[in-house]
Amino acid sequence: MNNYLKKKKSLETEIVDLFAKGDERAIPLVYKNYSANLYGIISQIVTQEELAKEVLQDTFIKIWKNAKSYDQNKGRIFTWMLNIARRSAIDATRTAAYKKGYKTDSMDAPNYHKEAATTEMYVEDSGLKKIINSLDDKYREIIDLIYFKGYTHRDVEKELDIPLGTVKSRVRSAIKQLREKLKEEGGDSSIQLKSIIAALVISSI
Amino acid sequence: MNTTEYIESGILEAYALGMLSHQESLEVEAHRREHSGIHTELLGIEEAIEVYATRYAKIPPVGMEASIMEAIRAINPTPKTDVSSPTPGPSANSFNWKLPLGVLLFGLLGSLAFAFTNFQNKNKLADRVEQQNTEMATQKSECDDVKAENTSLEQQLLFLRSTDNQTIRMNGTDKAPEAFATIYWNQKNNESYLDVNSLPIPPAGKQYQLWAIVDGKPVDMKVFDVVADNNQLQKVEFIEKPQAFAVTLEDAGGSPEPTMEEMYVIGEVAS
Repeated sequence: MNNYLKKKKSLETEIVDLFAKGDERAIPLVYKNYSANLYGIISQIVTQEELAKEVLQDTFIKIWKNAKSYDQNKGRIFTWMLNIARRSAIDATRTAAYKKGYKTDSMDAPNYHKEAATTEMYVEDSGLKKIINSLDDKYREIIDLIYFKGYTHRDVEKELDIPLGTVKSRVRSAIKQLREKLKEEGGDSSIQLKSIIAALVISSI
Repeated sequence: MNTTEYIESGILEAYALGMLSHQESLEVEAHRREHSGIHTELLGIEEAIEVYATRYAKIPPVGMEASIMEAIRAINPTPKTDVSSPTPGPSANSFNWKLPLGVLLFGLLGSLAFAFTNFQNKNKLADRVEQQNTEMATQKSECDDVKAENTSLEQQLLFLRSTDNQTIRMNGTDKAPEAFATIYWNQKNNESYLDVNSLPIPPAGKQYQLWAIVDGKPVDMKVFDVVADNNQLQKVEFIEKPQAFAVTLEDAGGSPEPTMEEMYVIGEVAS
């Protein structure tokens, strides 16, 4: 285990211990290490900043209230917190206020938070680049939008003007092909490949 | 169980992302305990999810941490502070600190409790407003529906009350003795309405078709749908000089000629 992983492991243990004791000092620690990751995921789902801030606060309150029920055997603490953040964000998009106000905003300016990025900009790993380039155009397009630009399936539906069902079936095929590649290539690109697969699943919201 | 197939089904990603039902999650957890391959795969997936989240990391706006801490303290009515540290020993000054300290503490706790209740009330109020907004939106849309139905019923009533109507009752044939339907035929306005009083709901792929008999020949008056609990008249084509009206059951979309064996109701126009 390298140093980085060791450090991460001990950070997680420390947070879990503080959680178990109901010690408030866990919160600044979580904030320092994970708030940007959580806020990033929330902002992908809730595009309006004021609401995204509310959701982040709500997420922390839920994390704190449920801290004692976190079970290490079921998964890592970050994943546990990420799922709380996702659910809170999704719930926020379902409220009447969001549907009336915020959603219109985000439709007027679709994906304003999603910077125009292309596969080229991010993929420094040439092995990964090779793998993605070997895929069929329509799957590359889906991966580009979902993984590299942070689109949801619904965003893709609007962007490419294809039915949601088609988006979902392309996502499924893309996942299947990535798994094939994972089997063939493995090695250094495998963590990136797996995170693309996770992104394709997560983006269905 | 084939571990590889299980992994490739995508269920592990869905599990890690909290997208499974409670029952499905329990199953995954059971498999995880039994198969080390699944356990390893899940660890990899979780790491991959973190890589993904890091890609989209976004630093929250300034002030978020303070406001989160404040909110968390508000749900912890007894925060860990050093108020309960050992009381100071007897000092040179014989002034009794207990009373003012007690008053101070009392005041502090009081205002904390006040702030806490206030915060709770505010949250409750916000929830109520949200809930009532949703209710209002639902009721408004129901109201619009009722209004539209009302307008349509009023128009039908107006039509039915007109003295220029001729009412043709179509009775059930041997195929469906209980069935009946009515045609309202108005020569003055050149309008006809169909009232489906009682026709069985057609099987999938079939539709009823209305016919007029003119000069002894059937004239197509289009297919129509039968829905349960329907209390609306359907406007139909106006046909000059009808001798009779009838309804047959045809393949969905209708037929150029009526299928006589599939006739459900028929009624003659009194001359």
